[in-house]
Amino acid sequence: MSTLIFIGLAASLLIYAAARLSRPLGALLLMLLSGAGVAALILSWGKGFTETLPLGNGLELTFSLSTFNWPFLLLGAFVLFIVSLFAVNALKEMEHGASFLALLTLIGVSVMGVFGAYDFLTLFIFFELMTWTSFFLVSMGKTGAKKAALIYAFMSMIAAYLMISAIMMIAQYTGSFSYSDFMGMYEAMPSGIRTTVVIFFLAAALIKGGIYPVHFWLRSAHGDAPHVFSPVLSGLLVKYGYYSAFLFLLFFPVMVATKAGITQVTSTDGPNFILAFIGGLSIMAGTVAAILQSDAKKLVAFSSVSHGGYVILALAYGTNMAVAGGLAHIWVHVLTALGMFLSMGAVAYRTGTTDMDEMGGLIKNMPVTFTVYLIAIISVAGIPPLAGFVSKWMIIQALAANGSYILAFMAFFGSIGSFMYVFRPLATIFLGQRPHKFKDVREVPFFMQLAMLIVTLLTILLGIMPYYLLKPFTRIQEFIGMVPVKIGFSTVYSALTQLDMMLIFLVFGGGFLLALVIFLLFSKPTKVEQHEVYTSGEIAPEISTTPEIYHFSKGYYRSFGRLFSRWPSVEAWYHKGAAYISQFFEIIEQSLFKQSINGFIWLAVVVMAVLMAVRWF
Amino acid sequence: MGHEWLSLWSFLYGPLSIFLVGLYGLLTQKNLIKMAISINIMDYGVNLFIISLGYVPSAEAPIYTDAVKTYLPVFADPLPQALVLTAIVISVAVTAFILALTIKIHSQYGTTDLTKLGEMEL
Amino acid sequence: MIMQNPVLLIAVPLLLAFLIPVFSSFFKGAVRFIPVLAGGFNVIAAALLIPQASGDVAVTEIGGWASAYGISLLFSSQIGYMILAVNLTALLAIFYYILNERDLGSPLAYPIAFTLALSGANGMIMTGDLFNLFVFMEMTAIAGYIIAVHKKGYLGTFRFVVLSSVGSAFFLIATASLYNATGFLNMAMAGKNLGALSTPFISVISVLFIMALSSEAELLPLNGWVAPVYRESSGAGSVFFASVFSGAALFAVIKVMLIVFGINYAYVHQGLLVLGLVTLAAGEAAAFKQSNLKKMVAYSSIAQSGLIIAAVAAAMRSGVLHNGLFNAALFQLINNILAKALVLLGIALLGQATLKEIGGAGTRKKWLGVFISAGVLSLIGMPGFAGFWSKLFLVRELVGNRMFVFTLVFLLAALFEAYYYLRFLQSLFLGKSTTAASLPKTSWVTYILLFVLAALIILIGFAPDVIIRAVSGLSLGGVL
Repeated sequence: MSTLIFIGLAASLLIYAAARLSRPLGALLLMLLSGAGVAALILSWGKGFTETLPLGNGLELTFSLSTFNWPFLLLGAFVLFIVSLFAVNALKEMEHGASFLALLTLIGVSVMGVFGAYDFLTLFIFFELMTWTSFFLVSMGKTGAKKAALIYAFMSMIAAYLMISAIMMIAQYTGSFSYSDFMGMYEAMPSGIRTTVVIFFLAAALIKGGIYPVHFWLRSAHGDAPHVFSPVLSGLLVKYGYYSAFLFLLFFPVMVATKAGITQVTSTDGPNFILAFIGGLSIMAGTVAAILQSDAKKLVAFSSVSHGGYVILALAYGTNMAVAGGLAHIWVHVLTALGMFLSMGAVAYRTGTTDMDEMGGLIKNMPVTFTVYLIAIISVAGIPPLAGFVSKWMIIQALAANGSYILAFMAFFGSIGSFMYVFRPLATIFLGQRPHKFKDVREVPFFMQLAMLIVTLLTILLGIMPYYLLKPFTRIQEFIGMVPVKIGFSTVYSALTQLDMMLIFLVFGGGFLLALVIFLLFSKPTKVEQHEVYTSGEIAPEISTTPEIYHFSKGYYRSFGRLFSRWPSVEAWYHKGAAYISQFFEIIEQSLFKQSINGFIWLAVVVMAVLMAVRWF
Repeated sequence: MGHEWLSLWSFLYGPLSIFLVGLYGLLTQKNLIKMAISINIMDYGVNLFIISLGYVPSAEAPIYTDAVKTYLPVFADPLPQALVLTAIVISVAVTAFILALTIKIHSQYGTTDLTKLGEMEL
Repeated sequence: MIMQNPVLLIAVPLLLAFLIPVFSSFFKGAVRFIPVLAGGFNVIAAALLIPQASGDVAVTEIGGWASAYGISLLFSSQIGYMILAVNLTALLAIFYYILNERDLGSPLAYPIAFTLALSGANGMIMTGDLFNLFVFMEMTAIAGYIIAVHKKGYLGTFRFVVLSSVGSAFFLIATASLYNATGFLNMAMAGKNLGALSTPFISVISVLFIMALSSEAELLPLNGWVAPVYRESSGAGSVFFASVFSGAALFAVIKVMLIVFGINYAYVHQGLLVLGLVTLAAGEAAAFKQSNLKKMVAYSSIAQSGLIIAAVAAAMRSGVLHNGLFNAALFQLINNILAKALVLLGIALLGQATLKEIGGAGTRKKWLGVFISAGVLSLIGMPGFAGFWSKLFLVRELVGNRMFVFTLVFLLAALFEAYYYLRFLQSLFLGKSTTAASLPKTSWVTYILLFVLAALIILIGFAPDVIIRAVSGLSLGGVL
């Protein structure tokens, strides 16, 4: 894998050069590379290896490919493959497109490093590589992107420093950075260090994963990043956080209990419950905030917060069903995030905006994009028969089976709430009144459609055949010594009941066909100009109405917003804190560095007096 | 008692108070030339201090002459004197530089008052 | 072989500096190449000396005096690497001066100042004698005063001169008192005889030394000159301040602390540790608010000095020398010298002063942008660049030695540092310039200089082994 990493580094230069010649060529090269990655991973199913890259002086980087990280590596390669396919057309008019592709290749390198790492040092190095490359990538977005990227980098650095502190504590205790040494010695570590390490690492993971209450960077970073990069952020980079959380959750009490074969969670598992509760809060906060967004991409960003909540909730809950559901939900969220962000990117590619209040009626112009979005949101909302239903079903089954009704309520809240927020772009972008300026909007070019359709197809197929969705994760469960969830080709068995997705698909498919038949049998509808709907075809000249004022998508959920307007906002506190820090820094500069010469001498005399006084007395 | 008091004064407190006078000047004076003078006074204090460290009661100048062959004299410590020479040369150079700088500042800003210059500086 | 004597590193530049006025009456145009000669000689000589040096300190006696009584020079491969880094950056700065700034100021004074500065900086790094250190310090300082007025920044220079003179007065008092009490000016001997002295005396002396060295080493409280001088200095000048002077002065502080006071005086190091940490925090806080690029780098330079000194003090605090921490601090010092030089040269080449003015300059000058990024990413410790390793080792040692407050301050400072440096890079590549002024032309020779530095930084970033062995393998026998 170290060879691959060096190839990746070299490839980023090559791709930069190629993209300078022609953007599509660069994107195609990246697509081929990541496609080769996908293929190689699928071919190496079931195989594994470990290799070390010595740096001298006792330092070495260790990489491995195993059942444990296989799905994550595949995920990284897949996201890059889809995004670079999308980028073949999408990057054409983008400023700095060549640098964009080169940096995206470096993201690919960081994927290999983070997911392929077998020691903490490697993990950290590639986390940091991701931080600075994605910082530049986010900065390339629209107006607010620069500020967004800085906040993003700031939060990432906090996470990185928490992580490195934890890693160094581990290294000091175990004498190495290796995962296996840590796993072996974890039980023997003093509980103080153990707690600190776990808290630091999980805090870092939550920041990277964009979980409430450290989620606020997601809004601007995902929302303002370039349209091509938002899917990577949401589909791939927050997964680094989930992955590192999962690494650490392996050591949590419940996981240890579950590994021993117990499936019943008891109320004494404090730490797990707190983390699961944080996940639940994240679901709710993300959902509510997403409902209130008027920018389509920010809406999707908050939906990522909510979905991250599901993953953390499920992984922290820790029964074998919950873990399988949570891991599967990571993959499901990759597909939905790609679907939603790519379709929003496609819309923005043609219309130049992501503000939902401005748009409407694009279903006629962009039917493929509409379909992609529709399938994605059905999966997001957890409506059968798509992949999203499977993972949510598993998570809620696990919660309900053990009687954790508060958490189950939170998970349900997210599901119901997601109906509300995913419907908003559907109604305001694709349905409803089409403003005149978007009359000539065309469907996006071929490669963009292709990228989106692959995602859609996978969402449907994995929904019908959950075996392919779940098998890698049950293998992880076997790998870490947990009782795997029982699955069939299209069925999942829980403690309470069983789920046959094929059956559900057939029922839904039958219903769809029935509706189609009814639609075709009855008479064709008459086509009218869209605004005629509102005035029954008559526009009274004295009212001087224009079609735009009937545009009902403005302030879509305004009344709902009033409902939540009194809720405490974590983001406001952060803003206040930042203002205080800024003032404080100003005071420091004024008092220590902006003196007259006499002032500096005074300073020196005072410092000298203090230093001597401290010695003497 | 009297002798010791005197020697402490001339070897420690005296140079130290000269040094402190210079420091006081730097702490309070706003005029660039006065600051240069203050630095000079500080240097005098320091130099005097160093010289006095080499003092040995009723010793002779550390010069190697024929007389040494006949009796073993008590020499004053020659090293501080050598050091002071270097220090003086350096302080002369720095003073010259400061004064040149003051001239330049005056010709550019038209004042040597630090309070007025402070506004331009920040 | 004659090259094997480290005194040449000081003597050759000094001689050349004195020859410059003589030469100038014969070859007027050629004098500006003399600093290159001096710098080039030093780089080659240092490179030749390093392989012959061992980890242990070799003492070279000067003028036939036994080392306890006469002036002596210390050399080990650690010192050799320090000298190499300092002279290399100085050489690059001199090249920059010749290529871009030769018409700025007197054509005679600046070559002299640069050459003198080289000699003084090397002296500060190598000398084993306290008074000799004072002389070299003053020599560097006076060269520094001249370099500081290169772009007519008189007010900043005035501050510099006053603060530095106060510092040197303290230094003289401390040195003379120490001589009087121990009977030696030689650092090692003075340190050996220190044990007989009373605690109040040692604490006063140590505070005086700390104060004295704080102006040159950019530590609080005498570092008020740093920001105005950086802001007003020329491109070559700012590199001299950030890499050459502060590097040499920091090394001198470390040397005095280690050899004179050693590990036995915890309270000395405690004070220095606190001072260093306050400097670190205050420097980063001040830098965070700057929109002027050179001032930003200046405050960041202050902060880094604080970090290095604090780390060294922490390494010596507890009665045993923590080799790991000490070496990490030295590694950080060398990385900092290289990266700061690269960033400052880059900023000078952009020719714009503020964050807004450079907007988008990196896309118009791609290579320049790439080189600056390498420097900046190294400064904020991103993987793939040299700075990553030194920061990693610092964290490892700090956590390993359970210095949690230090770790917290260090990481918080690094956080804000990363923020403003990333903001700088963002503006460099993606900003919109507020001035219509076109960027100054850059010659290919300059690019080669920058390339050398950037390649060095990336090389260390990918193969830290080389430099780690250089800095650390040595300390096992005896640090310095």
